[in-house]
Amino acid sequence: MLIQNVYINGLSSVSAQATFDETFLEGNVLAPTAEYRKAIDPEYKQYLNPTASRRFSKLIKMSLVAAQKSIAMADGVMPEAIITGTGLGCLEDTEKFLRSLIENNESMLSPTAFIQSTHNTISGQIAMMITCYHPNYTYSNRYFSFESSLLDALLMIQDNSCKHVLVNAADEVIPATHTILKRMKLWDRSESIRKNDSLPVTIGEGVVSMMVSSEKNVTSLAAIKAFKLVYILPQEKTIEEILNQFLEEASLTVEDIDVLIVGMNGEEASDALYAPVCKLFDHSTQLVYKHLFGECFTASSFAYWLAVHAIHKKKIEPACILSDKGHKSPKRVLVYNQFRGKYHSFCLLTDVEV
Amino acid sequence: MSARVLITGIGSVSSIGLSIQELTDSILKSKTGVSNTTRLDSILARTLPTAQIQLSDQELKNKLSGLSPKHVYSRTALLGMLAAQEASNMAGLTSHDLISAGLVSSSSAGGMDKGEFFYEDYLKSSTKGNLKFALTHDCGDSAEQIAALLNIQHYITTISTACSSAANAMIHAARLIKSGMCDIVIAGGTDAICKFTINGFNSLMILSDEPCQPFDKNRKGLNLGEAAGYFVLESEASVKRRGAKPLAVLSGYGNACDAYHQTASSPNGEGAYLAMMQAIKVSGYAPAEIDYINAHGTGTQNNDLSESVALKRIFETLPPVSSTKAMTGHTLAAAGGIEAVMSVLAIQNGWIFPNKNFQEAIEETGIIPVTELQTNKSIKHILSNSFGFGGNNSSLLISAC
Repeated sequence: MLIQNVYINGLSSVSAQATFDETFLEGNVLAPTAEYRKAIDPEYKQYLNPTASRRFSKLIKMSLVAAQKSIAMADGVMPEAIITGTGLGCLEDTEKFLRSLIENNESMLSPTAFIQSTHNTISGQIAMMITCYHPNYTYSNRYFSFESSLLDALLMIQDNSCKHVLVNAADEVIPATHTILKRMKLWDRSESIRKNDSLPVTIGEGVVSMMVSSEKNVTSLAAIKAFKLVYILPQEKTIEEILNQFLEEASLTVEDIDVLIVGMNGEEASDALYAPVCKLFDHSTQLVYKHLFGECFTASSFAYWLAVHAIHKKKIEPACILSDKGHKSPKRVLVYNQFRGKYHSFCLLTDVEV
Repeated sequence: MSARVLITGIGSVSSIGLSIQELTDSILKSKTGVSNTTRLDSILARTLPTAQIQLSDQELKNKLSGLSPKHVYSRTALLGMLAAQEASNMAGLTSHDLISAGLVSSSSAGGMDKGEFFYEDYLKSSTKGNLKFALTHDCGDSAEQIAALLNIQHYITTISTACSSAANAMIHAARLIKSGMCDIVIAGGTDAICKFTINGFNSLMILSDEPCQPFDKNRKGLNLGEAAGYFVLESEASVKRRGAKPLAVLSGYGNACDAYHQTASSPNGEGAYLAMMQAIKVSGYAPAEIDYINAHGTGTQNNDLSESVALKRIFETLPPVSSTKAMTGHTLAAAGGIEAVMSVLAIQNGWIFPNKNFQEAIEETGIIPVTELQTNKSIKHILSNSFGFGGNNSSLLISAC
């Protein structure tokens, strides 16, 4: 899908790296300290009312501060829609309520955890924080949770139903899900370290919040030019053909792409599916990021954060570089993510002036 | 760009019928699915009335062919698969149509009906609990199962906006069609009753210990139910190409946020008002052209008053209004789906549904809903409301072709 006149005017992220204060871009890259990629807590009290935020889970707090910051970056404009993608939702509150229901045998339960356990709590709390009566959506569908949110925002902007949309990606890890995901051998670190040819990726968490707008202004960081989602690739087409067609629609060829960001997650069989894409873009600088941010259903949103900063600030963190082709001031960045051959997402981000 | 979004198939599973035919028969008998019979092994479900589908997971699974016998399917997925398959069959979709179609599913609690079983064992020891159960926990799992059953490959997603989920799924589907990204989208919602939700709503003290009484002065709360309601939505070009016969049109939709409280609705029903106004505006029709309102009407003190206030703000003369939740229970994410399915049936058959158990009007607003099934009506435009937690309010306008 070709996109016209859509810009990212505000962007903020809370993650396992120093993305909130953006010192990650100055080389402040953190080595793993916890078993999973735990997000670094910002000074919440600078942003949130302490009495109100005491009952909020980490996921809600991260989402609220990131939303506040990205809206502020976009000149404090009121979003005309709020859309959040979350793969697993508000796990801390879900577990809290589930545990008390089992331990108390279905009696004497406090509603607070239940109220905050629903997936739409994040978008709902952001709306309440800024008193936003406009459309409010929450998507939760594995590796399309964030991408469907962005797609819906793009569709709303393209059909002129709104100008500014706040799009968020949000997922948290709690010890129980970490243990369960390890048992499932999903996003697991020990597995990926043992296979020394793959990236040491583990489970991660965090939030990315962006103001997507049809208005180009001085705060515009990057533009979104093309976007495509494919759940399962059609049998008659190769990934190379799909990518070539994607670029052709934007009147571009592979040579026009300065930076390619791929979602390798250390799982050998799944990562092998990126090989033909990396080969196709062999003259582009290629980046990976899940070894630094962790893997989760919305981890691809960190690639968008990296892409925008590569374009806007011309900063590429060396720890992300898989293959360096010397593109120091990239104008066109392609983000590609997939999981085990499903949930293919492609996004072309460019310099605002391109 | 497709000008109109057409409905070419509907499917539903609920406590008053496992198919559109059974649902139709139940409507004609004004049957209710609310009872004290429980299949769910829950202390609360044994003491409170609910609207459950009285079939085990295995019995539901037996109704679907081609499922792996060893695979664990959440009840949410099974209900969704049954309804989505019925909608697809009614629309006459071929495998060629389906492979390039989109799926916009929705669920509030996903596979929590299996997740809570898993977690009970996991709490005893972190090495315990059947992982096959845990794998169905997230909302996306049921969408993947529906997509696998129907072999939908192009695009799938899931919306989770509590009780407005299915209505929002239809809105996203409409945008996919209008933009030309998809010609055909299967959209709807599914939710199975589980201990997590019944305990959650009980902790909020909004479950009635009697059959619910939407819009009644003495209403005591809602009855939880389980259901799935799915649609085939299609562009005009696709309908023409396939020679399909459209059942109705999704002519308008609106989504607004109440931005008032995480669970309660505002006293002036702002979110509800904005969602309905938006749906009417998108359709291009005037409020006076609306023949019937299928209200959200849960039977809670808060919702019914807030919704009544919003209705009175919009309509000078209120068209016939009723809530069908005394028949189906409140089926959460599926509510907007099954109520939109019933709206299509109302247009096809000239029906207005009864708001069962109503006796006395709410003093502040005085709205008297329709209490008996009305037939032989000319119904062209129906507004169907779905309001949820988090201030998520959505409204659909469904029109005759």
